[in-house]
Amino acid sequence: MDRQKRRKAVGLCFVLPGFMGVAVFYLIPFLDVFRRSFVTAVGNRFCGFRNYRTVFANAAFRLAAGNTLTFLAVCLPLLLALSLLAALGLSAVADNKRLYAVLKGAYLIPLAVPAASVVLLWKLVFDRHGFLNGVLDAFGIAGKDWMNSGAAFGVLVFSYIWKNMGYVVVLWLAGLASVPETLYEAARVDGAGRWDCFVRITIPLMRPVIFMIVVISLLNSFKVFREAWMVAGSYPEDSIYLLQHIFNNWFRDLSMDRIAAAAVLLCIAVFGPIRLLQRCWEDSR
Amino acid sequence: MRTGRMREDSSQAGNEGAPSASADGAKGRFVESDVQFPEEVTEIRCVGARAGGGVTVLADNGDTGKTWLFMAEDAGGEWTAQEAGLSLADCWISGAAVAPDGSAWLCGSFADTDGMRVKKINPDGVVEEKVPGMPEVKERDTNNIITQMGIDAAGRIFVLDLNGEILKMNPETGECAERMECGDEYVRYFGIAGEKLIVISESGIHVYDTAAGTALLEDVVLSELIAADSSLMSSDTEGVFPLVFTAGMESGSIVHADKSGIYYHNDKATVSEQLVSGDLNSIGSLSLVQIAMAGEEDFLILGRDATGSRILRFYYDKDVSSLPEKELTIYALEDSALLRQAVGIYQKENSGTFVTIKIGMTEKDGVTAEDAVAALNTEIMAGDAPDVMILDGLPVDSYIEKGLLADVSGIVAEVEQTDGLFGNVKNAYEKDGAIYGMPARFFPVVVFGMEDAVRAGESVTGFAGYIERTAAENPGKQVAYDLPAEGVLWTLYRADSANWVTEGGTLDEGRLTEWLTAAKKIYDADRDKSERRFYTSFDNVLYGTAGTGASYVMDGEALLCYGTMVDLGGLEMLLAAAEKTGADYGILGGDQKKSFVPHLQTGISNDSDMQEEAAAFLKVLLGKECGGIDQDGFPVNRAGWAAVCEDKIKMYGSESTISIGSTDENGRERGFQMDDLNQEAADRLAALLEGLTVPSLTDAVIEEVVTAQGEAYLKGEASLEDVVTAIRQKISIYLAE
Repeated sequence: MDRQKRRKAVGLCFVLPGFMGVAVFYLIPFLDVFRRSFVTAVGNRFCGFRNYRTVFANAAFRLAAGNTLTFLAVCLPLLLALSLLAALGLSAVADNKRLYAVLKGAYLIPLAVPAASVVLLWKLVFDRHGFLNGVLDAFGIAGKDWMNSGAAFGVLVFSYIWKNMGYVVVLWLAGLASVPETLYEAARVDGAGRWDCFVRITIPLMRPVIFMIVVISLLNSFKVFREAWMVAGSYPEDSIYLLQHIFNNWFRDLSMDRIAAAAVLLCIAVFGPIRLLQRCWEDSR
Repeated sequence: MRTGRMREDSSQAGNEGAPSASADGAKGRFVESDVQFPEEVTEIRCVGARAGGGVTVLADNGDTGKTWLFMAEDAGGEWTAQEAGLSLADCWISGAAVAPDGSAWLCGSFADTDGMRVKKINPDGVVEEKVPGMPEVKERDTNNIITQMGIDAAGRIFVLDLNGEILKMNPETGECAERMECGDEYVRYFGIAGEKLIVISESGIHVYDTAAGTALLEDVVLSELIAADSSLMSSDTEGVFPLVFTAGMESGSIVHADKSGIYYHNDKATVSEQLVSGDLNSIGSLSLVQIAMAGEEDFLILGRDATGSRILRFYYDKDVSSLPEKELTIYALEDSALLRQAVGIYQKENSGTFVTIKIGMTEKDGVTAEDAVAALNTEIMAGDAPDVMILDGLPVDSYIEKGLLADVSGIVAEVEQTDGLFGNVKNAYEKDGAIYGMPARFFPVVVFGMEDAVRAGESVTGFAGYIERTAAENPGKQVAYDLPAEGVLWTLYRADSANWVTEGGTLDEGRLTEWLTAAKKIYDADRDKSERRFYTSFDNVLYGTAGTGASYVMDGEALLCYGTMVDLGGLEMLLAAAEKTGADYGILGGDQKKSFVPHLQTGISNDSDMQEEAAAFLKVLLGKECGGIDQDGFPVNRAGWAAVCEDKIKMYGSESTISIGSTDENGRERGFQMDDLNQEAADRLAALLEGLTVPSLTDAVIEEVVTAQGEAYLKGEASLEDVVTAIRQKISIYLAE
């Protein structure tokens, strides 16, 4: 018993420095944000749920939250599916080591491109007088102001997929490599086809990997604001006005009360489903 | 030199190095005072130290033609005046300096002579005239002139000529035949410190021995100074310099001054010591002409500002606290010469308070307004809000809503009681009896042209229609003094934006559409004459465009003009053009609400623990003395307005007319006879200003959205419908936030 306690204490000693960093830089600030969500911006007077009511009543917040949800609903499945397909394709050519390395590297290139360069490229391509409209014009098709019309959402989705696919492909590849080849061989001996192997062996054994990929992709999806803001500024086209835009603009207006309430809501909205997903998969084991 | 004490003072220098308090009770620092001369003096030409001790100043009155040498043994003591037999009225003086023997030397063109002359005014007032023999100007068919003059500690006279060469003048004959060997580079300006000639040329700063005429070892301090700030390299304005020099007490030492303060270093030093901080006094608001040492730890700085030329004295006072006990922080998004002058006035009256000016966006750091506001908000949230905030460009409504700004109606009422205020401006900022931010300045957008143009200008749409008709009736003729698309939008936004907001606080889309259509018509009227477009770039050139435009109307190059009028100099230009053309001026826009452009809107932080000091500063900014400065808009202070009118009427309305000449971007020369300003004209402008009841929209987000989209429409890159839709969509999100 004493030995077990000692082991726990040693374990805690290892965990403690990391935990302290997380506490100082994330947990304690978040607790302060939580506190601020119940007080007024100036004067710090307790105001109950008024900030939450204000946020829910705010049309701009509802628009931003709706757009963010739509973006997640479109992007996450698309990213997971496309990257899985790419990973399976890559696995198929794994024997050709040279081709495998080249393709894997190509997928990872967008991740290495700085956001500012991506934005510059966007501007060159999607501007009113940009490359895309030039090409369309050459074929007699009327162009449009891509970033100031509904097409802006499509541009943002494309950018997210393009930028993140390589990373997710690598994660899928790691997951696929972790499935023992002997299981596939045994299944094939038992008469299982490719699809059976994929559905009955690959997917169940990759549950932890799938969970991790979903979480990482979800969190990465919030980073797309960077490109959206750099291209279209604080007030972009309606469809790409995201939650981070409103946070940014509220900060300019010193609306810390609203930011705090919205941040708490966002935290619940992100970590609630993640926790739920985790529980579901743990239960199904 | 008291280096120990200097170091104490230098801690006050930067914006970051604020004093904590002089807890140890240490005493002594440099304090500032204005050297007072008789009221008759209107212009100070030069200042310098005499070899045996004491200082000499040359000053004159341009109206009466009287010129004096003022002499004092101690700059803080009594000054004796010696009238000189010379009139400087209607003269152009290109250089002036005091010699070690107490005589003053002037060069320029004088009313009674042809060509360039040099005059020596002896201490007894006797004047000697010399004809400076100058080498010919290279590669140009023009007479050579002296552009700067300086005298070293041994009385050697050096001048700079149009070739960018430094010449040594023979003091007996005035002959300037001996060229200083300063390389082949064009010399931009020079300074003299004892027997060192400090030359600022294209490659940097070089020091020469005036006696031997040879180059000295590199002065590391000065080289690094120039390397760190390239703006110190050029002297764009005649007679004023970014850097001025004099010799320190220690042999070979140099004292130099720029807008950031006064510095000292000896010839072995690798760093200079700051003796006086520009943030703590008026140096920052002056254009520097000369510096002289009036004694140990006693400096005189001759400089110019909007009020004219002044001599500031900085002397070491061992009895005052070494560090000011209090610190007042002023925040402004953009730097302002007027704000710095106000700080100088406040500092003189409150030497116990350290004033720090924090500028959100400087030319050096490239910070955007949005980034600067975010940084300011971070400081506010951290409980480090500035005591005084210049609210131009800041989210004022949001700050008021959050309770960040204190009610300053009491301070405003106090100033109103003492000096009177333009009630229309005050009323525009009064909400339920409270005022959370009050502009110190305001100005209108005006139209200048024939009577029908002025009448049409009562509404922006009417004005656009008039311009369109006139363009059709006068094919090939430039209708308006035109601006680039950004300039058209910038100006018209200020003229009409106050009319866009509905009673419910939303944007009136119909009115906005009309405005964009009008802007397009105005822009297009002269579009096909683009080679005559007067402004090719948009860079803060839009303050005072009415006066500049009037010069084109006067010369028949445009039929009318519109733009901002920000000072009485601008009014005088309109009057001068009106006198020649029969044109008139009126407020542009305002068929519904006549609007003014507020400037230096100032508020006090509610959380500040320096309420009393902040209030005192606001009183200075809104006060008569600051209001008496004719720049950056008209003062809201009525006494200040009266003072500035009196001053300018005296200046422009005097018998000796003032000619202002300039060369435009296309190399055309134009000139004005500034002699039409009188009380009647000033009263008429005051009546127009009193009729402006609302401020133009000052919301930075709305302006940015409207002008960014509007520019695409004006340039034909987007349709009106698309632009209005984009503006509506963006503004509705903004308003919904």
